[in-house]
Amino acid sequence: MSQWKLIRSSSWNQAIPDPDPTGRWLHLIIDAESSANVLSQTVLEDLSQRLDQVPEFAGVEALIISSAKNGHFIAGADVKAIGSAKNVDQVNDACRSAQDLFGRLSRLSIPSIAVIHGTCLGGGLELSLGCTARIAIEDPRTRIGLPEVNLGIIPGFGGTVRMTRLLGLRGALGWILPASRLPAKVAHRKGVVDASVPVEGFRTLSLQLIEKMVADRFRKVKAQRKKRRKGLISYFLDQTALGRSIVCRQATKSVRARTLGHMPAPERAIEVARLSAHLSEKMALVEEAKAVSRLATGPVCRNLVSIFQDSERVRRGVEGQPEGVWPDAKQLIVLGAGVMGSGVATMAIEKSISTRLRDISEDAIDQGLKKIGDAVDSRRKKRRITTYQQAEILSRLSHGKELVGLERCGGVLEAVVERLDVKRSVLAEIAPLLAKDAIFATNTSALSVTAIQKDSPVADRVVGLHFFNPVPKMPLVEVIPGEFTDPQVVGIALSLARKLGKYPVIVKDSPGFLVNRLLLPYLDAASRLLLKGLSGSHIDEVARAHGLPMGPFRLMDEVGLDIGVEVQETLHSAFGDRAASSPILLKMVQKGWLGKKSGIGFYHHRGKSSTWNRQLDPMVQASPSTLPPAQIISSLLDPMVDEAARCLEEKVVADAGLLDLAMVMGTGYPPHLGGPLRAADAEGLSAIEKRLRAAHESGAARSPCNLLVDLASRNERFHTHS
Amino acid sequence: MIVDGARTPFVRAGEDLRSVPVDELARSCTRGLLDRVPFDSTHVDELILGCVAQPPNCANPARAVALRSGLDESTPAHTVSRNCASGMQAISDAYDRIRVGASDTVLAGGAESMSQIPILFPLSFGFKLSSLSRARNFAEKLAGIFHFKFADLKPRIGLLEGLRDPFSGEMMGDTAERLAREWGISRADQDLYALESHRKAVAAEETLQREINALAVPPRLDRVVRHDVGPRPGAKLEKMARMKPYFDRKMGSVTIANSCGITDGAAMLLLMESAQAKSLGLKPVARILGSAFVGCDPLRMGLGPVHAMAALLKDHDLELADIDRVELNEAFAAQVLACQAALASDQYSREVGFSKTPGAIDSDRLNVFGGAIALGHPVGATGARLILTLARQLHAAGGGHGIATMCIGGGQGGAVLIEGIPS
Repeated sequence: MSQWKLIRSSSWNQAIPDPDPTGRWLHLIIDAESSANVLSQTVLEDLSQRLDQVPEFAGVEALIISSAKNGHFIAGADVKAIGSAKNVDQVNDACRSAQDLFGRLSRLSIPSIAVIHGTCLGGGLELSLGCTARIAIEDPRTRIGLPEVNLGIIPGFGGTVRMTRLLGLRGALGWILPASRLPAKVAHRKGVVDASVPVEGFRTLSLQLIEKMVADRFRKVKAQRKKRRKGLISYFLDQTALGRSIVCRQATKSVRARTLGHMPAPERAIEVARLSAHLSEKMALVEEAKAVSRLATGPVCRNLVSIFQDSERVRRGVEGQPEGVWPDAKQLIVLGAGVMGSGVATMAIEKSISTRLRDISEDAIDQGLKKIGDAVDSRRKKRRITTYQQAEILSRLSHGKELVGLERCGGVLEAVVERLDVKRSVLAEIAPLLAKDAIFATNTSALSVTAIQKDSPVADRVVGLHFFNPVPKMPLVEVIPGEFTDPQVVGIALSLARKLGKYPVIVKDSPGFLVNRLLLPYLDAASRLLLKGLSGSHIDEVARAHGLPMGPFRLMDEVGLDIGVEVQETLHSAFGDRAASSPILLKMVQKGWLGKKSGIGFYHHRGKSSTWNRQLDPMVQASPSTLPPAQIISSLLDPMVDEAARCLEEKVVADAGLLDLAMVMGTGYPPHLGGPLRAADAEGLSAIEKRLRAAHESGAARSPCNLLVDLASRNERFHTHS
Repeated sequence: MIVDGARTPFVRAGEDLRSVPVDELARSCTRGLLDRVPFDSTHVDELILGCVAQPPNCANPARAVALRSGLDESTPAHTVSRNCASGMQAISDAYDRIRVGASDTVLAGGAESMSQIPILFPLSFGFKLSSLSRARNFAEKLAGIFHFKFADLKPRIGLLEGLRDPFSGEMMGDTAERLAREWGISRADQDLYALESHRKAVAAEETLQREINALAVPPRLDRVVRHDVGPRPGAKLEKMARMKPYFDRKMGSVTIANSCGITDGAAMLLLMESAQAKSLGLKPVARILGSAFVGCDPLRMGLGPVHAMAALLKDHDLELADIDRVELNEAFAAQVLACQAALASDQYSREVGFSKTPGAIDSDRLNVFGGAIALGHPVGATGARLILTLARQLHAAGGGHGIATMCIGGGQGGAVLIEGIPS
């Protein structure tokens, strides 16, 4: 079956127009065999063949490129192929031929116009950029962008070069660096597409536009493009060497501030864009292909692609996971208006779920409502939503002390205080009122879901949903089925988490679940380094430089030391000495130093600034010492790798990919390292195992677990396929 | 059947609820009501909202309320106005719709944001503006600009114009002054009545609180309003006596303290056909038996309740003595006392159609939880609040008949007869 159709037609009323041998228009329609239109090798080859046929149609006036899939244009290049790229030359050749292929679109004897309805990302946009003109359809599904840098590469099918030639250096970097996906109207405003058309009857409207464009030989389109780049400043920044170097320096600076130099792709993108602004298109394309081939075969790209693939897997549903559908018409009742409760409620109302916020204290409700109001209002201030949308979002929220509305409720999410007796009594209160098919989700970070649900008449409908703080920012949700949980309930919980825009990972009901269990050895290692006399703020800096979003001590202050101690005690009693709590934490909590919320922890927090807490120094007996950064990092992360291996052994999580994804999404573990297991794989497991063994021999409670020892001895990896 | 109802707190205009638009007031209590009643809201067939000052940016606020409170898109909604009795009209209409079988389940009530009644430019301003926009050249434009006078910019306070009788140009307070003069109601009696209204409302605070659904003020949700602000526990007769008459400064007796307050608020009721309520397993609080609206002299609009009650009781073959509770809206103390006097008057009661003189209503049957003098009178909402309060008090009292009645600006009276259903 051919993936592209070439049809000559005189009208355009449906996705596949009626053929007419004397028609004025030639339609080139993509309908790939895969569910998404992905520019795989065969799709590109097929396109090439179709373009060869174009000259056979004498008398047509334009080539119109569209998709046969409703609300979906082209999703981009084949991510799998990018992730498995090994050979630099192969990638280079593939890019060169795709660049040339898209370039042919503008060199045909007739003009080519892309009509973009739906997702148009990466390679899809690069293909469109090869056309004479572009029309975008104003459908909410239309998203146009170049997300390549998120995958550690740059647009390599001519996108970097053609974007720069279309929009100028500044405009192009504005698209490539943030990797944003923008709607039709914005794309039109920014000049990437030449027109945007309402979705109703868009084919007729587009055809009218194309007719006009063809009639005036694209004069108006070209004038419009020129107008956008008029002006002295524009001339200086885009057309002069000095201007370009200023733009690039600024862009590089802001990229470095964000990535700390860990991501090569944005910097390469800036270089290639700069070259394309003054080199000939041909030479610039060569440079682009070169840059991509180096990036695509590098470790960062491989890691980012792996994480992306795992996230897609989770978003679509991991094979073998129970299925279920959150009932859209039903409301969600959130019990507990604290930070977590109001965070979840905010997400829910923003994602069109009618929500009731309930707390037993009016004060708590007031505080929670204020948090929700501020969160939604800040989105309006950033112009993410209009005032009308804001009113609509807020109208989905109700609140009160009364426990009502359970008949119309698809699920209850409980986010009350972390105490087993409280959680059990809340469940007991809800159980008789819970509608027949509603679920009861408990947001707990440390309590056992089985212990909560045990003996409840609705035990089968109880499921753990562990959100991470701050809820709107952290994309991970741990879904924890207890012993008595019905698989269908797990399915509904997964569906709810996805509906809230989160990535749900199923985790076994075991102490600390996954993320906290892995974080703790890391935090514990940090405080042990502190007790050895290392400077805490230095440890934080080293961790930051390694790519972690914040150092261990800042993280503990952020989370709250009391919560840290609580989790630690849970884990200590479950896992014995290797999870023994560090003495310093306990002492600090006794002093009332709880971290950010009490204004003092490892740091003094005053407003937005914070300084290291000098009062801690007397607690450390050891004399000040230092270690090289690499050694600090390995002492921090090795115990985490060991604990992660234990989680795999105990089947806390289904596979290594999900574990890595959870750490990236739940803790901000640097995605360019691909997660703790991929990073360990890259370093070599035997080195890690050796260090852990040495540490154990010199007194540490932790010794490398069987799986780690086993893999290390056989020189194998956690990730078998990569 | 009245299944249940809910209302927002009633808050003096210009205070905590001033930034809340009328559709949000009604939405908030509708959502609270829907949460409170254990049934599936897809059963709601339509929504009727009473509202006098419908906001210019939201024609038919009822529809906005229906959509925003999560009712299905296919649920129709319309807004009704009968001035002060708009909320009562909405419920009366809902009752009729159910009775003729057009609907089984209706959300009905009223809402008013008196804080948000617009301030207007004189029409002359608009006319000149439109002729300016038609100007074709510079000279015409210049001429157009010079046509404007300062008088064109004199604001018209929508709230005050709304409280003016459109036929005689008198303020509503002036009609109350007329009743006070005609029926010989003294300033002291009015103040005493007003004090009593406050006392009753303060005493009934807990009961009234159960009607209320707290409202978080959008868009920041940084303030949650939970309580009525009208009733004053510290109201003193001496203080009231010191107030100057507001409408007739020289000779008058009607003051701000013995009139109802200008207030923001909304009240919604869930009405259902009785078989429907039964099949859904709901326990209604009261049953509506009928309603009556009667016209009277616009200059004596305050006597409207007497006319309406006469017609309503005649329809149902009942005497006023058979009625256990009456909620008579307190637009002005003078107006309530005039109604009492009229009911006691042989001549007047005969004129309006009572077969025998009903006599004044005893105070333990009349407005037992206080009235609009204490709670305030958000014009569109009050009718619904009266019925809500009445229905719940009859329900709590274990049944009996009750009438909610009110005077209507422009010279009308409205009354609704209900029967409480014991729990």
